[in-house]
Amino acid sequence: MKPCFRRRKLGLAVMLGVLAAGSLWSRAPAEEPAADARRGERHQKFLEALYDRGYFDTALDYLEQMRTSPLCRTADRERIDYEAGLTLIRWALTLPSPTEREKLLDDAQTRFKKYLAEYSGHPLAFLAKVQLANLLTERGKIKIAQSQSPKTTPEQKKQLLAEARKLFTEARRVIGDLEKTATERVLQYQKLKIDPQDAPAVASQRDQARSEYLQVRLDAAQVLYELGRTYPSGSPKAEKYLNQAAARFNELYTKYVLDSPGGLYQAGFEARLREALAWKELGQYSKALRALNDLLDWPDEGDALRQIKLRAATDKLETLTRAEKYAAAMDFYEPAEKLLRGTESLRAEGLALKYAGGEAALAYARSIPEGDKERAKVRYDCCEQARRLFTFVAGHGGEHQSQARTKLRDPLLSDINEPSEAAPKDYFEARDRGKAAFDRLDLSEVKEDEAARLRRRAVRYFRLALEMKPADAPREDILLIHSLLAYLYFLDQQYYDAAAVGDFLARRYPGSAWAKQSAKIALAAYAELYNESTDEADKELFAGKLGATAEFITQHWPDSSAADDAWMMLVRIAILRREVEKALLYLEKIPADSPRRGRMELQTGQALWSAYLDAARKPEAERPPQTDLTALAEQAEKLLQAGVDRKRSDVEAGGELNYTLATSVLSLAQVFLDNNQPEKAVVWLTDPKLGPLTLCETNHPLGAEHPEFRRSVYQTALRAFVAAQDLARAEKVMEALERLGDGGEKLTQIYLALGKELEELLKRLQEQGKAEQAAAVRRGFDLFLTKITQRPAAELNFNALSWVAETFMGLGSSLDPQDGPPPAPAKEYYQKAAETYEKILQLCAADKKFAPGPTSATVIKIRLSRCLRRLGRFNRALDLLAEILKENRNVLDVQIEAAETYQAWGKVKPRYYNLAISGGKPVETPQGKTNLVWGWGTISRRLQFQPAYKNKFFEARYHLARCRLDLARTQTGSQRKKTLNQAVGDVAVVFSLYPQLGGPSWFNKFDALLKEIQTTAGLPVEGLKGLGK
Amino acid sequence: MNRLQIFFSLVALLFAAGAGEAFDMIKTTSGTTSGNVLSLSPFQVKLQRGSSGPTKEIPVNQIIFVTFDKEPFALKTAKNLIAVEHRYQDGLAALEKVKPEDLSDRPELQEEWEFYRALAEAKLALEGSGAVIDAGKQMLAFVNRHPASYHYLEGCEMVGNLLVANRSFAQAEEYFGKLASAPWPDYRIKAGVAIGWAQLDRGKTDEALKSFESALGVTGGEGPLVQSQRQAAELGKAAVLTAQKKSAEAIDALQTLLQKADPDDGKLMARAYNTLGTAYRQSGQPKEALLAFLTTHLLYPTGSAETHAEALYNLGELWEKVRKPERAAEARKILAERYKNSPWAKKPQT
Repeated sequence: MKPCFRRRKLGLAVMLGVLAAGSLWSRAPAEEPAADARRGERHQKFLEALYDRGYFDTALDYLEQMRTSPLCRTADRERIDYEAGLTLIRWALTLPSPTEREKLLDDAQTRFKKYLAEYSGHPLAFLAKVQLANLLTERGKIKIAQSQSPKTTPEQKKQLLAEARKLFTEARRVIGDLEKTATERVLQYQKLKIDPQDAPAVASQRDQARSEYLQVRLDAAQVLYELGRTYPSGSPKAEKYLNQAAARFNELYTKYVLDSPGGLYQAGFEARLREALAWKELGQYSKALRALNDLLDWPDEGDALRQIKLRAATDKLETLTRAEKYAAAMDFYEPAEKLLRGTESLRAEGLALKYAGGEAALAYARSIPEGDKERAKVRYDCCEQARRLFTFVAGHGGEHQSQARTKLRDPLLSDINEPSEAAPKDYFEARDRGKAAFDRLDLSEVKEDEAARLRRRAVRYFRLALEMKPADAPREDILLIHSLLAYLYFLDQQYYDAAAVGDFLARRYPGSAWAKQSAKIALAAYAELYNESTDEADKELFAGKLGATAEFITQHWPDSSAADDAWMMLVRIAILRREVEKALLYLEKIPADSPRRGRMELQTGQALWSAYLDAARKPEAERPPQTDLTALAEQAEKLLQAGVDRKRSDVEAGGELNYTLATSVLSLAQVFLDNNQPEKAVVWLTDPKLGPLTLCETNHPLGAEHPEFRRSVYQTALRAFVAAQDLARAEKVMEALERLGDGGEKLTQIYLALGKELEELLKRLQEQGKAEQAAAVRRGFDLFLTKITQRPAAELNFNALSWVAETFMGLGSSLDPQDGPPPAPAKEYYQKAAETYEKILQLCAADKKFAPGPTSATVIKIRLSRCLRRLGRFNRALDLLAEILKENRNVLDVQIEAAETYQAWGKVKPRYYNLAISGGKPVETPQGKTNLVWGWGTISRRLQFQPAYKNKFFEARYHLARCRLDLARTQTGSQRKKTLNQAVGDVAVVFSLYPQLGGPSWFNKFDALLKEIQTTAGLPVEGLKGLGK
Repeated sequence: MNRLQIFFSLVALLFAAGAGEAFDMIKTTSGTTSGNVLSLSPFQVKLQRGSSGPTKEIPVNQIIFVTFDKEPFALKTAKNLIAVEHRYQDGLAALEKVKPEDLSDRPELQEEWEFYRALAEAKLALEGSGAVIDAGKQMLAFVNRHPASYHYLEGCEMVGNLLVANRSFAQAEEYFGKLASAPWPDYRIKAGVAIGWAQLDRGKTDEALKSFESALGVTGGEGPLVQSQRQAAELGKAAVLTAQKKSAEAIDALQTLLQKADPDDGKLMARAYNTLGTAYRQSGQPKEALLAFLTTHLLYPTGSAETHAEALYNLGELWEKVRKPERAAEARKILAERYKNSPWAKKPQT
């Protein structure tokens, strides 16, 4: 039986992680004052910072100091021994020696017992008992690991396994008692029917109880698994316990994943992973693989599940290897490796996966006899793969480092040569073989498979050469080998290695002939690492490395194209990250006479233009001042103009017009349009050599290759010709837009976007006090839009009518302060919008082909309902939304619209506030009566555990409390008081669950709302800070 | 005119918006307000909304940022980099791109350029990556040339800080004293605190104590700004106790302060924990001292460069004392790499 060192550690890690999070279900922290909460956060942050650095001893000193420190909160002081126990366990995880680990676990046990003796009634007491039970399990696992050591004699092994069995049996007994207690508690809570809004503290205790119950059930199954491992593989007792463990894990997976109506629980996935391990131990590999494939097939939903999937991938590799399905393991490795993101390759889970991949490759190679000529290449390739993976793991620390180093000394890996070749005699021969392989890479007819083989060969022999180099080997020779290795790593996408070697060489030997090339390789490698990263912190790291490398290149080789390339790379990254000032600063570093300057000016100009558009479209509170926006646009114009001017001469001399230039000219036209210079925009659009409209009209390949570009060109041209009063050409462009077709959905979006631009413009005119201008725009639109709707039905199309309706909505919205019933002019526009939407729906009903797509009518219904809401026609609005929900109740946006409609109705008839909160439109289902419309309460409950909807969750909770407040204001006496108390409770509950409230924006909103409630209730106006006093 | 022509001709109005009316903008601690700046002084900025609207006087101690109409883009960028993002080198590079003719539209623009240049140099010098004397001269030149600027008091404070960094404590006191002329309690307290620290750095513990007590005696004004300054004064008093080797009293005072101070006030917390660490060292409690300096290093490294460097220096010594040489080496390495110009990096280990 193979040692399961990794499994044990990860098991502990999972246990810790689960307990530290305290939440397999949800576990809400108890309510506490905000100031104390911040001190508590600082305490935890400090501990975590110490753990991150491995300062566990100092963490223990800190906890001891806190025992008597006046800076310690009572809540933290009570937990000191519990925290110390957890610290000791974390420390134990990092130690390789079982003896040292056992000592720390002994200390941890003492701490937990001390904690329980003093605080048996404390909220964490149950978890402390669970930890104690798990310590027994962990010590049992240490015994198993010791029994598997090669130095252990058979008698010692027998003794150790017996001791392990004893520990597991004791653990089983303790966990069994805990399971009973946890089950009783959960059943008690189930009887109570708790409403979290009415009784938040009780709801929190219920969630805690659930969390503990799940934890214990997982642990109970785990002990059975461990017990099974203490018996010889295949023995009746081993089979009995392992089968029981598998069944219990499967039960958890079924109950909390497959059959779970309320959502998916991490514990369920964890159980499935452990079930797979049990099957593996039983030798039932197909069942193990089935379980693992189930996990791997789940979409990535959150970080916790992703981590489980990574472990499942590693376990699958190990299972396939154990089952001797080597080819399948090798085939699986590549997609498995792709699961790793960013710097995960360097973390425990990535290294474990690579190590498992190396073992699979080595096992496969070993299974092929040396004399098997037919499969000699397979054997060789497997050894190369194994060597590569073990080398990586050995070079990056962590749990598997020493094992990987040991594997690299495996005779199979050190001796293997090309199938028909003897080992090189000396440094020179190794070097020359490497060079020969490298030189052949240059040949154009080399296919990818052969190129990969040549690269591996070159790497292998260069490495051998470095190992064999004599003391007097020429230094430049050695540096060349290093430089070529860096390049080969880059080609093989081993970017970390390429960057490390290239960077080191360049900085250490800047005077070498290979330094510049090495620096360029490092730069390119960092750029790839940046592109691959998804984590913001990783991106920041690699952007910093890029900057440092670029600086280095430009300092040492200032006039070279390498320097330009370096700055270009940084400009690109700054552009991607929307760091406009940085992009400009980097651009300035490229000399004006550099041939690359023009292209970078164009790209930077475009980036500035995009930044301007983004900023101009932001909500008013977030939008920068107009002067800033104008300056951005001016800067964009300047750069685009400069770049286009530089590139123009190339094109006029017969050079090719590329996509960058064409889009830059389009952006320039848009800049002029926004600056009220439509004639200039037209000049650029129709330029005979560079004009984007000219390209589209003459069917230039660029237009055909980039359909989105064509759409943008026509859109811009439409605006430009109209603004320049060239109506004949404007009409032609409009026809060209219509012909673009694509099912019409995209054209609808174009028209909708035009309508949105109009709304934004009208708002800006209002804010700038240009009321007359705004009124003139409105009058003109009104006239035109009305004429469109009056056309005969045969001339109407969905897109144009949608645009008309949307534009009427926009006109109305621009006059509507949204803080009460709309004023008469706004109401008129809303009415026209509603009539147009109704017309569209009628036409869709009359002719199935009228709507461009299957969801078009649904979109119209939602827009119409919004319109009707503003008009106070709530019944019809809700009926429309109910029609949609009847087909699919889970459309969140529609549920939110419906809740908002009830809420708006509540302003007129207060009883509808209740429906906004609890939902309405009851329908019969097979499960009984239920509300079609959820209301804010159910919306928030459904979104609570979904990180992707965090913002909408807070929105729902906010509106819920808001409805309560507005309802209370229409009430009197005790009813009013009760409702206001509930409103306070609404805010208090969400604050207790999420003290940060999703960030400053929501924090401030909830704070302001609570103060409003307190003012209305005549309570002290303290806001969130006063909660809990 | 057909329907399309009507539509298009009216759409033309969409694009006749033109640029908005020019205005100045002031970002304060309670929001943003815009209008025309009528006058500037060291204590307030007077603003008028619209050409005939009401005027408003905004105290300088509430102002975070002023953006003037016609301010060149590069100057705006530079101010943002320096005042908001604290990227002083990049801010200086942006200031270099401002052309003199771009500043000629209004006199305030030239002042802004001068002040932010001096401010960036001063901040870099205080962080250890610039020359203190040159930066000091630049800021001094600004305050002398622009005594009516709304940056005047900030400039004086910065001159004081640079003089302290240059060990010219007596002169530093003179410039901190100018803050005391401000009408707001938090500035008057700040002046007392700054003078107190300068006196303490000179070893004048009795005078320093008087300054801190005098700062605490300033009445009037409440709110987070004043509270923060009062706590800074209390911290100063605790530092005096430490300087007088009354470590037990200092520890008590500091623990009382830390219980009520805002955990998010990084500057105050970093200094408080460093002072606590020093007090613990004096009283022969190296482990407690270690934890105090570690708190600064791990939780408040951005409190200020000076306090972080001080914490790292002490950690380098204390880790050796508790026989963790590799951790000591790590602390010394960070000190040498990040704060190579700081006095703490040059101070020999004891």
